[in-house]
Amino acid sequence: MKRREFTKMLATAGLGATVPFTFHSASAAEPYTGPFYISLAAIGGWDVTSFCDPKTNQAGQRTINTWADTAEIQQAGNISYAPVADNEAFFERFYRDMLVINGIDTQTNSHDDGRRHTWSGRIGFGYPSFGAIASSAIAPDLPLSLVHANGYSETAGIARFSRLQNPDLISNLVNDASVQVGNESYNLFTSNEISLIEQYQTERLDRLMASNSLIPRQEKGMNNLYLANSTRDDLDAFAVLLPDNFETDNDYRAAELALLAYQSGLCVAAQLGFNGFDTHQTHDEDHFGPLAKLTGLVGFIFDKAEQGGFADRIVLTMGSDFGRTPYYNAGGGKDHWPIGSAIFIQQGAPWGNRVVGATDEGHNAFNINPTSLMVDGSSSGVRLEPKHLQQAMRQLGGVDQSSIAQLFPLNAEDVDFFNPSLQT
Amino acid sequence: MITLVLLLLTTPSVFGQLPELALPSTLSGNATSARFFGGATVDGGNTFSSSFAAHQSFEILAEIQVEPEHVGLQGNLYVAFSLNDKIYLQNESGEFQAWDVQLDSMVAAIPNKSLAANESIAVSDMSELLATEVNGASLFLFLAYDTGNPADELYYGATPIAVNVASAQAMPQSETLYLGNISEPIIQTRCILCHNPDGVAQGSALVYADSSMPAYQAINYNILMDYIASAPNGSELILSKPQGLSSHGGGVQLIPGSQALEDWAAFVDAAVTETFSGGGTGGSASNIFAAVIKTDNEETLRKAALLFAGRLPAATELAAVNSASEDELRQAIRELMVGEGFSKYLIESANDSLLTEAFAPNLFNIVDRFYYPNAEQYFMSEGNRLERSLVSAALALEPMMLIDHVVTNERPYTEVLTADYIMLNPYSAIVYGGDVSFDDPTDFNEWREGEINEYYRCSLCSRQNPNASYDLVTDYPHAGILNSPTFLSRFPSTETNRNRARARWAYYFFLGVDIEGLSERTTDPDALADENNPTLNNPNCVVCHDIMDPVAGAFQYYGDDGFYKDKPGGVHSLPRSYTNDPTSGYQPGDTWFADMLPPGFGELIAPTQDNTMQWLAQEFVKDSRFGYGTVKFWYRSVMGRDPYPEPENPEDAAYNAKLAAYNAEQDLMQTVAADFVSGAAGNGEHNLKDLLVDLVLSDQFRANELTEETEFQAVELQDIGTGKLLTPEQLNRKLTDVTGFSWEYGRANALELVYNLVYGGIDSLGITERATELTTLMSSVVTAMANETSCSITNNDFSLPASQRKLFPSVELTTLPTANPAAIISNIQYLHRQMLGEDLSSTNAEIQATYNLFVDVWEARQESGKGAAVSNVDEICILENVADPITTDSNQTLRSWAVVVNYLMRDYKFIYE
Repeated sequence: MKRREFTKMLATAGLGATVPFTFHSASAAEPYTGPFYISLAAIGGWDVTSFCDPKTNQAGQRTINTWADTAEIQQAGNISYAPVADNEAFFERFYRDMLVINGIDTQTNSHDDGRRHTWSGRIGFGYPSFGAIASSAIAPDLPLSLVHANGYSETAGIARFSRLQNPDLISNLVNDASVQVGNESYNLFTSNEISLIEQYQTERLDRLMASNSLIPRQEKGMNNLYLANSTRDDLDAFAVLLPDNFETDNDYRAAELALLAYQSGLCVAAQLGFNGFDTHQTHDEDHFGPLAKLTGLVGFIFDKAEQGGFADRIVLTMGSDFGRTPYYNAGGGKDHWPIGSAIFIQQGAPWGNRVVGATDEGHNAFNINPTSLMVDGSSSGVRLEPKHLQQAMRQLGGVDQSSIAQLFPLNAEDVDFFNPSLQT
Repeated sequence: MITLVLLLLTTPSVFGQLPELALPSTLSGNATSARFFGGATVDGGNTFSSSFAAHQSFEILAEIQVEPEHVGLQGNLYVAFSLNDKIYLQNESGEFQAWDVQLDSMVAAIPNKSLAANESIAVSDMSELLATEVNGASLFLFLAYDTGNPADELYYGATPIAVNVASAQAMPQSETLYLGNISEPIIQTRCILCHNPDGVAQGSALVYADSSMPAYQAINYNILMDYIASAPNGSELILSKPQGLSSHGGGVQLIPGSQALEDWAAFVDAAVTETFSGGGTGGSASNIFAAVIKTDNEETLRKAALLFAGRLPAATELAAVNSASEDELRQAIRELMVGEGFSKYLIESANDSLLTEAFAPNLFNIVDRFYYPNAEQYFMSEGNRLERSLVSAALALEPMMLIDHVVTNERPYTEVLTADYIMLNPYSAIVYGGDVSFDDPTDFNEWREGEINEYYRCSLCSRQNPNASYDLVTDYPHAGILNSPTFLSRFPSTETNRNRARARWAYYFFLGVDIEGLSERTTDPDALADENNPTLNNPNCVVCHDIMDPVAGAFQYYGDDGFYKDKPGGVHSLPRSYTNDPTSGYQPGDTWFADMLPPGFGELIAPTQDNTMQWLAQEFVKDSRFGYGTVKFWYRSVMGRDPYPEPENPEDAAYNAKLAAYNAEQDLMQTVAADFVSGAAGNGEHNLKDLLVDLVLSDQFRANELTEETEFQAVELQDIGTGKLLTPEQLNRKLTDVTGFSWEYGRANALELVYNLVYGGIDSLGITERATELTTLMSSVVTAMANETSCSITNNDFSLPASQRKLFPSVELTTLPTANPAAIISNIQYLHRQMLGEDLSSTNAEIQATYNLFVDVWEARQESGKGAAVSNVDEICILENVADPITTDSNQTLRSWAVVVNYLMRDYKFIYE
């Protein structure tokens, strides 16, 4: 923890996070080596009855899943899964390191609201994502502290997210004081002149920021420019890791770049995800492909992290807007259903191979006892909601008590999600 | 009133129960074994909490357990805290003093004492300080100590003691009325007899908690507020049922004319006001600008010119508004709204919502070679790739070109929906037909009104059947953007969606109504499992579908991919899964689903089934929300962000400040909307130019300085006024106009194309939200721009006669600081004015700083004996796009000026406006 961060913590403990940073340090931020928090969104509403909360068909009831006409629910350790898509490979590989939370009631069938509720813990506007809280609480000064590719992007003013799309451009940009002609690199200005420009720019920005007549938007913009200027050189650490060839699929490439950002010590959290799950038509035909891609992407993330030697530091959360109806509509599709699930994966986690929360055979959520985690129909029972999921994410990230997190209280009951000896 | 009790703790034993504060830290980053404890309590430390009501008294208990090796050393104990947006330290006298967050100005609460293993700290009474926080307070208190060895080392708890105190004035009027007049005399005395979990009204939407339950008043109040907000006709039913109306099973409970009914009505009235108008509890909308200084006329004109015209205003334009009236300023801004720059503004801004440019790469995202046979020539075509790409771009741009056409010709903006034509250029006319003649059939920028007359419905529809016949001549019933093939393709439907998505977006773009936002209330899975046509019958679904489905019906003739009457025979677009289902209710001749509400709008049913789209367009533009929807559509393009969502939770930090900002913004939007609809500016009703001018003249756009800081301005003014990060397109236009130079890589513009996404732009497909906050990566685009273009710009400008230069009218390359510093300073003043919008005196510190930079570089170059070549292997000056470059710089001034330009291009005021 640096002096600048201490003072920034004080500054951001206020309401608007708009107090100018007073301690200007030209030193590079320390490389971040803590856990890497990845939020992976199945955008559009995933069908967890064909995934981690599998359901078979009930006599006399509408068909929940056509696969259940010919196949049985499968089991990997303590975790049940549906025998479709690439679920078997996924669950067999990760069940030991996996906590499944079923029966999360998102309380909506609206995409925007469901997305906001799942990933911020509040159905209303204004709460930041977990990634924004984690990056802000842990290492706000890192230039790529929060990488955002897709999904819920609200930062509530506590963080800025970086988009990483084109690796070639990034390589160019980090060497912005020179140009490449053939194999030769030529300077555009002498290093002394670049230093002078930067020195004068910093001094001018200091003068501008010292004004006591700035409106908040100006203060924020100047702070952002100051932080960007003081950390730009840090991007070199990221650029040197960029390989010549990248994944061709956009979503895989986004994951690859996020992992490299973390590997370079510049990134705390990443928000990944892709569309394709909102299958109101021909559900089985259209949904299982994205599901296979989703599980494949998780495998890819851990494969890459293994290669980089940091797979044990990945903390991955999978979630979605909500679930899908436990029956098919006239078009063979499944519509929106407020009950969904989430999955945590962390290699070697003591809380793995467990399921918390439950739903009945018609995919209606049961209340659970927050202490015993057992189904509890009494007044002590708690209906799991996204606020519990977000609270768990904050706890897992060790930021639930941070001043940043406390600006956005979840008021969630304390559910003992990570007690290895309990499950629903 | 908040009361804090002075705490003087002398023994550490009490802290055995204190919560430990996580993340003990040091400034050096070294680990520490020190521990920090603390919490706020109302019961002497038995329990701790972080949230307190305004009337609750609480005290803060705090302790530091120092590192064992520090025991016995001399040290200082610190108490620092942030209260809303200010930071304080407690001093030795127990008083709180504002702190500038400089380490050397830290004062200790307990200075220079011999450290014990456990140090309790007396946290002073904050009641006087907190009493000024009329909007509630969020307090974060940090504990720290040092020993002076090593110097500058500080041991502190990085996790604060957090305390949120609700506002004494935050209680809504409805809650006050509820607690005073409703809870006991009505709910607990009458209603709860039936409306309880076991009562005869247990199945109703109103089931109350009795007074034996904790927090029963809050529970019941929230039940009522939720009902009023979300139940269909909730605010009417809640009034009528207690009077025995509306089939109230409990008969008459509140007699007309009684005080109880008056109290009930007053409560409902307050609740409705707060729920649906956003008023009632917030700060004053008009006060948030009390301490704000607006941009003056010249600066306003400059920002408007960059926004609307993509250029700086001319000196004559600036002079004309120097001491002009607001009407004259209004006219001057209006006159900027012409030409290519304004069209670019309109097209970019509209596309940020409509996103149809996503389809620019491929015309077959929009049309089909069967329905549009003229498109066949581009199918799998390799021979006419340039023409194909121009056709694709023309089709994708078409909705925005309609807006451009309507606005630049000062026609009523309603025409964007009611236009009985489509905009065509020579390339889109190839596919659509239109019987339009063009002055130049190769000019992409020549757009004219036309009609689609090369669209053919199918008598036998099949892609695979060789006998398929797409032969039915079609008189396309144009309804502006609503049935633009591009718009319909960009927002497609499915067999089960049944045009609802199109209805949602039509409401959103043109009436400012977010239907998705209406359904955020609790959705009961049991209700969702309803099989009895829930969108028509289930109240949980009807709340949205009543609004959405009639409009979806108005889109009835447009199939999932947007093609008009695309089913066999060309009379409807109903899916086969519906028409072939004997149980669906379909009857020959139907054009819409029998199990949905009929085509209509609100309470209106379309009078005929012939042309529901054009009918809907007319109804939309007559609707009272059309003006507001138009303001909302364009608001982001002027203010740099979407309008604020309504604050929802009074318990949020700074709720009242957020509400005040929201109310102020809504006031503005409603006023601008009313003037737009009525044509108050005198240029006709629904004139979009006047709407845009009104937004620019607002406090929200012009807020520029604060005369004094008040506590909640950080929130009230958070995203208001000047200081918007320019989009890549805006920055490019500014760069090009200010410097006369365009940053290109070959034929690709660097900002608009190469770095567009990196710099926060959108691709209209996967990335549809602009980044509005500068990141480190984005800043590297700025430095790349400055490094790569500043020498080229300088070279290019000096290559021109002084009278034609954009940046250097007052100096030549022979003007040296040793001989004519005044000319150099004068030119620096000019650069600050042109590039940064700063009008500064020659003695101003900024002008002097820039001059010093120039001299520093110039002297360094002289001293190092730099050669005369402007560009060489040691320092390249990219001259690729310079028409007549200067190649020698024997005085070393060109490169010195290039450094100055580089410095100014990186500046906050160059990339923000």
